Amino acid sequence: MDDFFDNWTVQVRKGVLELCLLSALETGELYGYALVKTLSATPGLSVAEGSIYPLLSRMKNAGLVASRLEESPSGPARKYYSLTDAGRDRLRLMRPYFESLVRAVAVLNKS
Amino acid sequence: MIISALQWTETARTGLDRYFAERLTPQRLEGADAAEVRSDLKDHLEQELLQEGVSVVTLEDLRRTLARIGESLPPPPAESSGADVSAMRGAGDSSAKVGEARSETEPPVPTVSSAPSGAVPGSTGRPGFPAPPAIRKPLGLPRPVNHFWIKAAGLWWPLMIFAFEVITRGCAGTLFDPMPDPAHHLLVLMVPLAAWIFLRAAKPDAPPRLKLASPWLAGMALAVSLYYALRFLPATPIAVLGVLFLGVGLLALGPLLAFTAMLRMRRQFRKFGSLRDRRCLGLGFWLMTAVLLLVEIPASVTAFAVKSLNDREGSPAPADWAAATRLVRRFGSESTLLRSCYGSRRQNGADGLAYAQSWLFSLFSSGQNWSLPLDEGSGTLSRDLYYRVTGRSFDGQESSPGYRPWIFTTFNSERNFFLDEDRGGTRVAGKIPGLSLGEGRLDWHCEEASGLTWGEWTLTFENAGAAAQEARCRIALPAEGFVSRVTLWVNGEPQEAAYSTVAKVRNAYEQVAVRERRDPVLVTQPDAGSVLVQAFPVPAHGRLKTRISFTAPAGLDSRVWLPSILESNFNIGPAASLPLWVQADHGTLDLPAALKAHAVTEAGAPTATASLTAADITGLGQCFVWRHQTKPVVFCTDPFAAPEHKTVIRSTEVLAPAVFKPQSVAWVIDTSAPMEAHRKAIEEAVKKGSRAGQSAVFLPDDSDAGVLSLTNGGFPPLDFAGGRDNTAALLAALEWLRGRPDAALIWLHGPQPLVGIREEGLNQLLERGVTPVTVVDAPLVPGENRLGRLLVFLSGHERIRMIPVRTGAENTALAGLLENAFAQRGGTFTAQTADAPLPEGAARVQDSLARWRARLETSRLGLRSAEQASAFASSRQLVTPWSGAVVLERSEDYKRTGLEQADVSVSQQVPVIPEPSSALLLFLSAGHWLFRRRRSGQLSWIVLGNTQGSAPAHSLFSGFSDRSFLLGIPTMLKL
Repeated sequence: MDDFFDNWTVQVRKGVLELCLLSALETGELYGYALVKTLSATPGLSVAEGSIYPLLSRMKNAGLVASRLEESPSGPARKYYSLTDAGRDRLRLMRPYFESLVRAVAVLNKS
Repeated sequence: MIISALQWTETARTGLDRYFAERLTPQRLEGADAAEVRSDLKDHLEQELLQEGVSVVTLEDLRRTLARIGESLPPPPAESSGADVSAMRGAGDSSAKVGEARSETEPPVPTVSSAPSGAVPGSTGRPGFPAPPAIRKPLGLPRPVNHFWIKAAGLWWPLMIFAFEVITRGCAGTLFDPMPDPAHHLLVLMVPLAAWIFLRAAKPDAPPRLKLASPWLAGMALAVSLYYALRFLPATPIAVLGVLFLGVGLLALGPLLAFTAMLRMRRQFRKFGSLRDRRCLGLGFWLMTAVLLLVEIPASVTAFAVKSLNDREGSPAPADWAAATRLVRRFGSESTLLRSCYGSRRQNGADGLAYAQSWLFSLFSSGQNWSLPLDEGSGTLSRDLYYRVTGRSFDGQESSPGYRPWIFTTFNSERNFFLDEDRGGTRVAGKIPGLSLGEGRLDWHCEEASGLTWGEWTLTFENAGAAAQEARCRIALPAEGFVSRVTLWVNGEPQEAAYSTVAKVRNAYEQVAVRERRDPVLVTQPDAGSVLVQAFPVPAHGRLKTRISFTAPAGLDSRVWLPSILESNFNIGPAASLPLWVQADHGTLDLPAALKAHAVTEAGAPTATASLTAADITGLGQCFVWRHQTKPVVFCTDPFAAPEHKTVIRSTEVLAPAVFKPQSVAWVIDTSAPMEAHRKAIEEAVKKGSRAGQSAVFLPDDSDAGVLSLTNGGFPPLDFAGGRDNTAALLAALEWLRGRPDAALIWLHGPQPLVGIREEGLNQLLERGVTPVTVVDAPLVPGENRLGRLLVFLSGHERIRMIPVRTGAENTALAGLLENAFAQRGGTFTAQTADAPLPEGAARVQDSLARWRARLETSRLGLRSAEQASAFASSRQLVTPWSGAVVLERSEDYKRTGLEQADVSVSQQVPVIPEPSSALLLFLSAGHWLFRRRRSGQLSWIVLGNTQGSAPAHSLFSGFSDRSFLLGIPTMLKL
């Protein structure tokens, strides 16, 4: 694969990573480690685990996600992330937009 | 400052600080909180390190871990990057190399300048969104959480084992039944279900309800898999050896493998789950453990009780029986005990943890006992315990151990390959899958002059299995009745039986049937009131037809009891129906309303037809009332007698029926659980029967003495429970009757199937005692009665007179039936030559009269000599306690076994009534025509051979009413 394709795939994934994070948290709060593992294990997403935490922090600063700490019997306290109402609203905006984008690309591909 | 449970080396700590210094720069953070990102990354790294089992973190550990999460450790200021890469390569960590390589080739993080116009600094171009983190290329995928083992050992393998066991019942047939009921099927399915839910819930798009249910199910599945791993523990070493050396045995290892998969699931929850998840998992585990304990306690207690009886040296003492019975009655499992009754080869019932425990204990204690079944014998102890616990005989019980789902009945391997260990034995034993009672018929004839009735029961056995089976059943005889003919259809042709001693016919049966597998049927009479029928082989997917004839005098209360199946090893479906035909040459027939009989009188002969249901032909059976008037003197030709005794005469002119009135009555009332249904009838009967003379009640109980004795009117509320051995009560009753005049013992009882009873005391009393006793044997609940058999054969002297009484299922008239039991028939039998003059008015009857006389003579002989009784009964073609009947397939089989087949010309027949000859038909037709012509004035009477009006015609048609005569003609013409 050439550099152009590599850079393009990186940019595409960058664009959808916030959507993925918000979607992953939609069903309930998740332990940060589990959230990161889930995203990194999702086929096709190919995100490096270490690069998700800064994104989470930024989304937290933006009021899209919230976090809380919980005691753990087998190690340090665990941080659990969940969606805020603002995050839920944002997800409701992002998801149809992304779907319309995918459909538009599909239409172009067919034509 | 790093605070954690891990110990960091100084270089690792420095390396981590260096990593954060490079990673958490404002450019790379792009608005993220540096302290928070640092904390999150540190926690993440520590989780990774803990998972690896690292306790002291070195620089190399840090480098490797960073590489795994897509990050890289920056080189120290004094260290060149090339040296660092070389060091990592030297460590041989390929993932580290990939990470390093990737970090070097990673494209630059988008900067403000690369953002679309309009975006705020540090964003991705959309207002409010910060710039995304660095994204790895596809080649640099991080290692995903590995769920392979959960999928393989927790989901697919348990599902395959489940399907295999449901279809083949392989484990149930060889070791024990792991899924004896629907609940156990659900338990087993819980393991793959929990694994599937876990795998689904781990996906990002999983519904919230799955995420909620997953830890609960995981906890419960962990408990279930642990339970089955323990149950299969005894087979595990063998299975491991099998896998290692033979490549087989994975099925037996399935539960253990599933347990490891469930452990792995638990580990995932501990790593990634919330506190709520972990709590739910724990609660699910303990909840299911409690459920399993509750489910398994009864089976384990039962297994323990059977094992403890088995482990006794010699026969268990009464105290051992009492302890085991109490234990199983309170806490045991009836189904486990029933499966244990099938003996060592077909037990299928070593349920519960006690199975594993007993096996392990015996293994470690002696090193020799490798037998898995709990009851190492033929199941005798279990069968006795089953009776003591339930009050029901094992014989005739449903034999399919455990629950069978629909798919199993589709394949039904057990039906096809059922191993019947009781074949050729003397017990009916459990039901055989696939063996059933097919069509049949019951024809019964009543002869007014003699007061005798006889009939034929045609039975067809059907076998839907793939192996030939033996059909066995015990049939209740009509009151005072006996078997007078046995026929078997061989290749479509009826073959008559041979009659001889019980030992000889049984020998022939075993030789021809069991060993040579040809077509015989055997009928023996094990006790006073029933016969045992055995037929083998009922061919695979085939049928076997036999017919048994019974003879019995009508009761003094005019009742005629029909034979009924007390126990059978074949199934009698609830939809089974048996056409009944009852006919009498005279009198009136009154069949129970429940039978919905269709009664018709043809030519003065009443007939009734009905369709008997399964309930009518099983258990205590049905009876009908035949009101009639016997002739005072009747005679017949005895087809078996010597010329000097060719004519048998029975006269009731001299001796009228008498009623024996006992002065001392001992009541032995079986207080086993099934008798409770007859509580009211029993109490009424005892109350009514104890009015005159002295009386005592003997109640079997669970005490060490085994009996509660109450004399002269004492009668406490009856306490019915389990199954109770009546031996001690009978012994006490006979003791009480010693020396008393006109002594009678009335025994009201249910099944008494115990093999391991202590009978010598009873034996001694019967042999040595001198007081004559009349014993009324009244079974109120059908079932095997070994104690009754013992009484018949031990009372081989004239002082004990056994009177078997048939009682109906309702028992509303029990008191009356017992009173009638003491009534004695009047009449005498004499025999003379064929040409000797007959008493005046003697009426000729059929030769059933001679058979009845022979049966009574056999009993008389039996009191003195079993050999004489046996020889006499055999010569008269009778089945008695001293003689049996066997039908063999070929004439050479009879010769080889020293038996002589009965002559069909002297065998008993059920006549067709009326029996018009052709001449008679013509004559009657002519008479009818003449009668009608004369009535119409067209013709005068024409009387053949007589000119005295209608007198000859009257005598000719005597016995027919005018109406029946008129009705009879067209009927006979039609015939």
